[in-house]
Amino acid sequence: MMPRGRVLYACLDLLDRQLLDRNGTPCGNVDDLELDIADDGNVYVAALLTGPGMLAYRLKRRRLGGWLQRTSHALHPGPNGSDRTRVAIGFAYEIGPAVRIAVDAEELASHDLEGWTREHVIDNIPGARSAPE
Amino acid sequence: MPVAIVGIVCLLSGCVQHFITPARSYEAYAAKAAATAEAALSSVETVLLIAETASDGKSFGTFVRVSLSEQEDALDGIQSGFRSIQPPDARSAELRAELDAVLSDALTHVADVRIAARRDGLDDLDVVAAPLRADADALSAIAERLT
Amino acid sequence: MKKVLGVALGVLSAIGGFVDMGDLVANAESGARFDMNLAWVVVVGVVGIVIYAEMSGRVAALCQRPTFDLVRERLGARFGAANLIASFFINLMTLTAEIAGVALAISLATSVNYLFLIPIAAVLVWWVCWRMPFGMMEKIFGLLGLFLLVFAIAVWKLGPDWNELLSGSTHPSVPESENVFTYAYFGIALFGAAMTPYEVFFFSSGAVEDKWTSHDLGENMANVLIGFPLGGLLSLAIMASSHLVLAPRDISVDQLSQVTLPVISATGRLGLAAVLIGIFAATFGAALETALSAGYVMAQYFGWPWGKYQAPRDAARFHLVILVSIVVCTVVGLTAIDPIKVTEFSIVLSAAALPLTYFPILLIANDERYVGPDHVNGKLTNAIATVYLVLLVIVSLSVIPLMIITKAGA
Repeated sequence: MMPRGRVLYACLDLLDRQLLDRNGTPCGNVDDLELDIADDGNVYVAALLTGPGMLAYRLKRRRLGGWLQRTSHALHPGPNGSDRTRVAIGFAYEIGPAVRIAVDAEELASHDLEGWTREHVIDNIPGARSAPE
Repeated sequence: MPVAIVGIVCLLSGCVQHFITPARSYEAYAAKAAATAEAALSSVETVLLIAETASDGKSFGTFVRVSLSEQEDALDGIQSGFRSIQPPDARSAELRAELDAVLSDALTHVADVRIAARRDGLDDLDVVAAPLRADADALSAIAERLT
Repeated sequence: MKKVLGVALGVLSAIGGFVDMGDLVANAESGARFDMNLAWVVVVGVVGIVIYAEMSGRVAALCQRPTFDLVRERLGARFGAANLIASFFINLMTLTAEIAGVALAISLATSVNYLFLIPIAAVLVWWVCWRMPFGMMEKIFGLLGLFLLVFAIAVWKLGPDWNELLSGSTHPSVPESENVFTYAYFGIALFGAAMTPYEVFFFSSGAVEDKWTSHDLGENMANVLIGFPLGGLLSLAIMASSHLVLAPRDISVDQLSQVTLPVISATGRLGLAAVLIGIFAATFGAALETALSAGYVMAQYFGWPWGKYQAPRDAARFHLVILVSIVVCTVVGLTAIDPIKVTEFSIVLSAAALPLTYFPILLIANDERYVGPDHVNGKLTNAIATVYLVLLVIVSLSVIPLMIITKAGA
């Protein structure tokens, strides 16, 4: 199997890019990349990683990063215990100024805190539901 | 990173001027006295200007009252700060007595202006503030002498 | 016709919105202590912010990404994190200063103790960020800020020797009562007051939210190219008024009320009312921008939803950051910390942190992959922009040593 892949500078064009879900909602940045080495020796990007602890881990704060990842996974694991920080590269349908992925923001761990904040803080303040203009 | 932040915070807090460190010689004490005199002069001149514009009908009551209070508090703080510095020798002690007397006079006169503004209105505030001119001259003379 | 009116409105509110607490304090203090010998710094600062804002606006319009978003992407997460911490902290200091300015303006008009007014000012600022239609608010406060033109009127009424003013500005020197270190320190303060980073975060985020395109660039740049220099002239009017009235009396600026004395002296009660309205509007507008910038920088670094037009629940963490920032600044303000000192620190530290956000934008404005081959920096822009980069680095490195040497400008 020799899938045709785009060749790009992963660090420049993928890492730290804004992620937008299928509705255009910002859902984090590309905090890290899961790389795969195929039989032909080429390096492929297998998945985009985003969520609590992913960036910390990449920035060498391994204990903090690891702790955040484990806590987040324990609090809200994905269906069948899957990892909600991992977005397989196949879901990325547009790589430009932002990376657009064919998922809903709620499916990602990076959006958990948004939901929690919305429920427990913001919604309790009058006027939270209507837009200012 | 946390070390850097703590370091910067310490550095910044050390940069605040009215950090009342002791003076070890007459020269050092005189420098602090000069700075005190200049700061007090600024306050006194401000009160004179406020009084002048108030009696010319250029100001209104709320502004005058608030800004006079600010200057009185400032002058009070300047005097307290100066008083808290221990004079290192006899010559410094003389200087302390001299400057402190002028500061006390100034503070009394500023308080008079503040009280008059509240009680009697603004029209004659420049008359009430007139003694401050002498205080300003005295502070100015001290500052010049010491620098 | 409607379009001309729209542009005119934008320019006018840019002029009125240019001055904030930092400009008020820095220009008044400089005028009182250094006469017009630091006027040239304001000019340099205004050119700097025009270049900075133009590049940010162009980048925001062409790749739909605001400044801080791109910092992480282009310069990496680690640099971005350092940048975030520095910018956020300085932003908080600025917000504290602006809220204090609002409270002081109300206090001078009502004689209510300003400490009581800090929470009230803070709640008002928060409420506008939370609920009010932002475009309208921005225009209103920008236009009300034009009341600060009373400083220019005051200068004219004081009947100065214009030759003297001009020669002081064009032949700068260090006055006898000061030394070269305090001169440099106040120069940096003026520079930081003119080239405020929060202005650029706010401006570029707004450009993305308003969905500017390359067609909008011309119209929106009018605000920057005309509004900012005229705002700079307003700053110089503050400096001149202070030089004419405060300097001869040996008055140095330690309270905001002293800044207004030249206006009172020259124009009386009407002028006092005008200047208080102007100060209120300028500091309130700046507080709004700074509060939103707090949310912008954090949300943009971490990739959260953000925006001032959306319902708060659709940008929950963004609004939480704004709320917490305002609360923290209120608490700090209530410790009766000297608002003038906080303002001075915030502008000087802003100047120190400028290279962190300026450098990425300069890089990206030159990068075809972001702005397209037709819109990269021209040679002239690059030449000037690079000179400014060098200047910013020199300024940045000088801040801490100068702070120590001058004991923060004493």
